Amino acid sequence: MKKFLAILKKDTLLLVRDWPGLAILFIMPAVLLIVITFTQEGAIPSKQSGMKIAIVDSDSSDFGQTLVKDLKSTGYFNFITLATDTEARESILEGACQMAVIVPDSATEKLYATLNYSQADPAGIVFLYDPAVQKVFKNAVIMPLSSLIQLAAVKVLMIKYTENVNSTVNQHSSEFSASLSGKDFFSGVPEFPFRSEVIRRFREEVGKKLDTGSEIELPFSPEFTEQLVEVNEEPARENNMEFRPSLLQNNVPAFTLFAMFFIVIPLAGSIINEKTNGTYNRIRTLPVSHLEVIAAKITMFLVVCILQFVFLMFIGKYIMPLLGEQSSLDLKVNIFSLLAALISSSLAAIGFGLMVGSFANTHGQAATFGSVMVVILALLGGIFVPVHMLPEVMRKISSISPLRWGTDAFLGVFARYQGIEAIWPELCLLTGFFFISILLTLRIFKRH
Amino acid sequence: MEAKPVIEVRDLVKIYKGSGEKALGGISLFVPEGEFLGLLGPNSAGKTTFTSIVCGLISPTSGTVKIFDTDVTLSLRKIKNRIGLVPQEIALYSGLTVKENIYFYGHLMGYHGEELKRRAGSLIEIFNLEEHLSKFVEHCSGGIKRRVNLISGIIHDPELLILDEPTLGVDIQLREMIFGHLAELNRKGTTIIYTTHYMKEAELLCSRVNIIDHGSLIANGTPAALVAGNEGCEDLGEVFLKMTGRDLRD
Repeated sequence: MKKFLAILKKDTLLLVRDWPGLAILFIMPAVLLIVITFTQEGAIPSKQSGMKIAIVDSDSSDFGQTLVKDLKSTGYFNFITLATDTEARESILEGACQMAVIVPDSATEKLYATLNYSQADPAGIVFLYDPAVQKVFKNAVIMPLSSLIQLAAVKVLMIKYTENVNSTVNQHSSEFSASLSGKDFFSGVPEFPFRSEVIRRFREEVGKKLDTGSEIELPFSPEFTEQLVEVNEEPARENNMEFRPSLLQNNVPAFTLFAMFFIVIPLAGSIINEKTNGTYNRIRTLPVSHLEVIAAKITMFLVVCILQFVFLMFIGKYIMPLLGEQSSLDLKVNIFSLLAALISSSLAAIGFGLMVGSFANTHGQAATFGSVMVVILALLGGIFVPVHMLPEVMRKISSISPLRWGTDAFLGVFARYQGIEAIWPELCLLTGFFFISILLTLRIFKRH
Repeated sequence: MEAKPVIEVRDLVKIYKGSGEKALGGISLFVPEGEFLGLLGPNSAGKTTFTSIVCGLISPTSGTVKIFDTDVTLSLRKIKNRIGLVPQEIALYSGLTVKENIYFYGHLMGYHGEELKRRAGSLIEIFNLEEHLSKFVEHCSGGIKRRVNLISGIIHDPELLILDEPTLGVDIQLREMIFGHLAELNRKGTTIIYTTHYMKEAELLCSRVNIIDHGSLIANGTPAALVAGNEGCEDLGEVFLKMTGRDLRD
């Protein structure tokens, strides 16, 4: 134990005296967090094709069926049909889809009520979304979706309206025809060229459009159509916890994770220093095991990761509001899942650093390979761009990124307020990655 | 009565992966307790390979190496605290101070508290490092680094001390100081293997000299016997040149 403490003390002294290394670990992620959060606030994504949206048609009537058909025919989003809103909620929380459009069972009934009574309650469509989906992306989806919903409502109303008109016309057609019999319906209309042709065409068109009921363009004003259907946004969540969606809830844990993986530079650097200056060989001749040497590094960098986390939480909670961010980081999360996500992500990051340090022979190799790999893993892991926005192939590749597992675990904690039972698969993957890394590192050390 | 063997090497062969050449071509040697053995040889003769195998840093291709009657390829760990290594390179942490480096290696050898303080204090005084204790190694002169490098390898009073060119690049004053201390350690019973390119050092310090070239042991004896056994040679340097030739090596 005393040898372990001696190595730990040595590693700690070397790290705290390495100011550029500390800047990489603390200042760089803080700057990234601040800059990217503020720039993302105003950004609009250009393409949403990778996003999966569930549709739940509890209405199963005219409006629901039309809406499902119309949404699927857009080809813009990737829609999947689910049976219940509970199923949709679960799919969102599991990450199978990011949003859901829920058509309640009385939607058509309420919509038709507006034909008879203009002050009737509008049909309420629920727009369920993953709290982990960044606000900017959610807004970019909900705006076109709302328009599609309103259009579908208008279409259904027009059909119903024309059906009603047709029915009324048919019902009174005999009486109407009889009353018109022998009379010139257009007697009051002044004579003009082609008068008889215009009358014939008018009768044909009205008759045809009443039959199909779908081609008549009614002059609905935008104000009126917006009253037809009310789209209510609602975050998917497992309990009734207060929820305040914020970009910070996504970015702070994401960039903490990013920073954690950047310990690859000082950690791998410390191993390479020892390999190149002879201290590693010297230690190998001393009565100390590889495990003691590695355990000291793991312990020290675990503390570093926890400090990074605390530092970035502090920035999210107190500094960002001072810089003009409207919200602050909400820390009312499940403390056990937070600690589990923090420790398992830290261990995965440390494992990655140890592995790079043991493979690489020079600082250049470690710094270049380590930092480029972290950026690649971060891109795949949803740190900069949400994973659901990536192309299908990249989404599949991303599932092997430890940063993806870490991001999912942290988003579960911070954005979805989930407990350990919901994030345990990610925790297992992260911890498994750590143990495999340690085994590989020990194997390489012994082979040297 | 014959002294107990500290090192017994039999038919030691080392061929590095990717190289067909034998770095060591079947060396056998015996180092008794209390000996001051000089290991001489030109560049790439196999000296560092030999000491690396003895210290357990690399594995032999074939042959056996026993230290304190323990096969180093099987269980070196239990005898590691009886061996001291002073490598040729300055194997110190440049970001730590002189004192921190010495204490770190002392801790790893299993000494703590007052015992470590006593051992470190004694060596710091012998090597006149009191004024430099708080200096970072990266800011120290070559001479100070050499001294700290040496202290780090002997802080635990090893029974077997392996030194790989410990006086490389040091001035005459420090060289004298190092010689004096090594002689003192040897007098107290420490077995020493001393690798050097300076023949005068070997002549002065070593009770026996082994000359290695092309991975083979080509001479073994006391410096005086080696000089006497080679006609026309007046010192060990001439013996060395006679046996290894004057061609430049890698």
